[in-house]
Amino acid sequence: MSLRTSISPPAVAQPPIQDAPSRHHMWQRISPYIYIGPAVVYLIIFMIIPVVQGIQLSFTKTPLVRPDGGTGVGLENYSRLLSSPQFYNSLGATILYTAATVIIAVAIGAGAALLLNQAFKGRTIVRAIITFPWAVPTVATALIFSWIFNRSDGVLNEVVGVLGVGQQGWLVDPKFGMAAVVLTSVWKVMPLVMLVVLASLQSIPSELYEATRMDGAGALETFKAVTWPHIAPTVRVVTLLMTIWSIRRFEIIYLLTGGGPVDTTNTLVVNVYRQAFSNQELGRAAAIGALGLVLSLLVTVVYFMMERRNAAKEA
Amino acid sequence: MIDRRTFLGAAAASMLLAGCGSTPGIDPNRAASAGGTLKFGSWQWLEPGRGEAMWKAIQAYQKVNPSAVLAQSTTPFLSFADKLNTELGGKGGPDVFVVQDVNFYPLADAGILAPLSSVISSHKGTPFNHTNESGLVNGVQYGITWERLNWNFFWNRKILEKASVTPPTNVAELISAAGQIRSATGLDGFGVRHQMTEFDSWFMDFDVWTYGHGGSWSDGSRPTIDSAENIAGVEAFGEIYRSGAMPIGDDASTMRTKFREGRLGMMIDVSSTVAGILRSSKALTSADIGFAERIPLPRPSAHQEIVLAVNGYGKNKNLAVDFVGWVGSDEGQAALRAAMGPSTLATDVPLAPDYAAANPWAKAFIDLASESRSPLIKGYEAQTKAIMREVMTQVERYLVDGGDAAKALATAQTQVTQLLG
Amino acid sequence: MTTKEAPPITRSAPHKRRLKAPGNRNFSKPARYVMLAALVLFSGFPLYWMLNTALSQDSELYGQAQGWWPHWERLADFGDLIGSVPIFKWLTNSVVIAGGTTLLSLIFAVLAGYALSRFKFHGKGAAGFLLFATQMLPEALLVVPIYALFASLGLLNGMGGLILANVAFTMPVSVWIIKGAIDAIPYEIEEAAAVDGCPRVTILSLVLTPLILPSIAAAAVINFFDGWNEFLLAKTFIAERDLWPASVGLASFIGQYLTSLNSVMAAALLFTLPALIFFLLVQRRIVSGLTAGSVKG
Repeated sequence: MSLRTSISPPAVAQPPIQDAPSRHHMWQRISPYIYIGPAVVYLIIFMIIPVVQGIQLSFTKTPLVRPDGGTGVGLENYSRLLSSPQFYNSLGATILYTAATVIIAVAIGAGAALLLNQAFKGRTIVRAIITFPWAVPTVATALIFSWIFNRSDGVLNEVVGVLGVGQQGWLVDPKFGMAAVVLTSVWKVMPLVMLVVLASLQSIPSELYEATRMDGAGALETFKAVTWPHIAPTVRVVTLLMTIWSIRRFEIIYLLTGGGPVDTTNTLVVNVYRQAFSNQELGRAAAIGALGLVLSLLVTVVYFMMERRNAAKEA
Repeated sequence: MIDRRTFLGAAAASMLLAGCGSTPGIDPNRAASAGGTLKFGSWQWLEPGRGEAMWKAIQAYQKVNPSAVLAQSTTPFLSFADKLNTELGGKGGPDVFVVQDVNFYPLADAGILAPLSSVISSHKGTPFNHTNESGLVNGVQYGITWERLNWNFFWNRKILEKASVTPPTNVAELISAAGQIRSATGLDGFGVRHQMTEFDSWFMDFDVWTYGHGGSWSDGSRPTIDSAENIAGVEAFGEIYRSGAMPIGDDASTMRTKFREGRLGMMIDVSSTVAGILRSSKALTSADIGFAERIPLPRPSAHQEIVLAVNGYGKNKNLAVDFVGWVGSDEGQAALRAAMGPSTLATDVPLAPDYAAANPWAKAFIDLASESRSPLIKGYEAQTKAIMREVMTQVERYLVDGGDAAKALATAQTQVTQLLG
Repeated sequence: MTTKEAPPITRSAPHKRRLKAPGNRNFSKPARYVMLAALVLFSGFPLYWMLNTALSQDSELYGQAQGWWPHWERLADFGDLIGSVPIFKWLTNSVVIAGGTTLLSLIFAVLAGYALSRFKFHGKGAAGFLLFATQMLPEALLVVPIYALFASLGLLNGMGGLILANVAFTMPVSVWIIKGAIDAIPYEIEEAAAVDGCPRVTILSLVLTPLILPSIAAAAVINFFDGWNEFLLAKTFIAERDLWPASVGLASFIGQYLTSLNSVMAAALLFTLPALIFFLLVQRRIVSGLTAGSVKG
């Protein structure tokens, strides 16, 4: 799918449109910058500069209410973090949350796309309902799932009670906190995966199916030979995006559990927020944020390395 | 044909202009009588019934100073502190605001608030009571009491009667009473906050238990998290938590609603909760509220203080300080008393007689203000929240996972020492 | 089973080909329907439960007596909820914020997507990486610095500032989608227009844009939802209750003292409905819009 080619330079060289020579030569040289300039400048102002400030902050001890009144402490924040079990708990929670959410969401989303790729009566309605979670605001999502998970009066416990399992504290018990948060997140993000994979599926030319069927291939072989190769790049890109977004996802986790129970869902981002606003330590918060960024970068680098290897294999 | 350099130069210039033009040209030293708009930041404007009443009450200031206009700045309680701190960090924020003492202290300590010494020195009428000591930071008065909320123990008379339970007077009786309510009526016996999801309020609630056993989190010079009294308090709470009579997993708001619906027997909560419950309940009346003179614990309990302060970055500081002075005056206090209900105010304005008669439980709450203790940790006031986060994390672990309360608090002590060091 | 189902693809009209693609045939029909039913239940139940909770009374909710079937007769009570809070104002604010975010984001996206697709220039790779890298930045880390920046630029407490902040987060995804869509358009079309003397800007606006409309629509929907959903920045940057978007308004129902769960759920529903309706109206376009970029020439 298109997303893949966005990240690496396009394979096909596009000749620039030949404007009338000489007078427009300078215009031709700078016009790309005019087109891409606004977006780049915008991001630099609203994203890069704050991030740089954030990284600067991580080398200081700064109270929340005096963001410009920090004192430099060098690498102390980092050394403290890297030797605190609480930080590794956050790291572990982030990795667990991300892995679980991404794997389950991509699996369900891709599966749903495969199911919806075939016409059947009522398909439009079914597809619409399956996509609804994407439209529900995050705050509303947290509210309804909190209620569903409620230990004494929530409907989930009512249902599992019938099945013989006892009343569980889904958001209270450290055994279940992460599962509850992952379930809610999967519910929310799965539709986007489904849509993207479905779009990719629907662009497979039907002649390919014809050809394999005429060769006498069964369903599984068709999938392996035709479907998967076509959607694989899309699935990989959407997995990468989901991973990065999961690492930085804040609202659902914070509104559902606040990082609990007993810090089991205290991901890096939730921890950043806590350090900044509850403990009022901007320096420490920034240090955690910086380390979280490193994690995201690592994931991206791994992805690109894998992509390059795949491209080499395909070549 | 736009040259790149010109383009960037124009962009930079326009941004600079935007920055220059944003601040209004008000002289920060302008006199209060010159009037102007005051933005009053609070979460309480959202409280059904009471919020409107409070707002109306303070409008009376405009009669005293007709050129002044009061404007609301509202943020929901859960985000209020974060938002206020962010605004103040950006040198903005409302001109005057209320804030809980645990959030007030760091602000005053950082020198962000305007001093209110003139308010104290020019005060006439009923003297400021001792609650205003909370507003004294580093020897300067930076805030006056907006209201002090005390925790007390209260119950639903009908439920206790139905379960044939006499009001408990200590922890052991509390646990058995709760258990009896549960077995006799199937309803939850007792409810208090117990989760880190509500950390911002829980740690203040929890002080009821440790203070109630005579504990403190510090002795002024070093943290005393793992003192015997604190351990006793944690263990008492743990017994109740595990008794099965508490709705584990419910947040405070849910438990209060349950109480209002007549589905919870006993609670320890602040006076405004009772007032709120009665105001919105179709089933409960004031006569149904049974109350104790004090919480069933050996020693005096905790309070939650809401402080009124002036933003040091405000553009109209003199007006704001004048307003605060009015709030503390007899006129302001009388207006607020009618609106606030049963909380302790900056001066000892008595409850209206008819209100007191209709709500016998109210006086008990107010009287507790004389000996209640602050949640601020002595010697480490500005770091109270950070310290308590370590403590409550270990407490939650103890409650949920079991184990030894002494060990949990010892771990907290180590972590707090590390945090402060 | 499969032979009976085989649709006569070669005989159907070309434009219907996509819809009738046989897709995956790994599962038997009943199994597929079971899985689809499970998916529908999974996705739809929480919404249904929101409605059910909104129509229940507190005595039922906390008495473990919440029924499975909604009490439709109580729909009229929604009027009470609407009267006491400025819901329509909040919804309007959300529309303005989401709409403004979408519009601004798309403008950047079309320009930048075109540049990344059609030009070669120094720093192209860097620009592409920048767009991608910013997706990794968490809002929680950026809240305070952006706040300070806005404070100095005078952008606080206005929906404009919030829109500007939102765009920074949503724009990169739109750039990719547009770029992919433009990549898929054969270059010859633009060449022909250029030969006719058409300036580049006109080509972009009058020739290309109509061709990539489905992708623009898909990007628009993604942006709109991001803007509609956004909570953390909104609650930090907007102080006045009248300027709140719906997300912050909804959170305000979680008061310090007593929350009426049915009111909260009713509000949650009212805030979800416009997004749902909007989505239903454009859902067909989204899939075709996302597809458009993937047809490899």
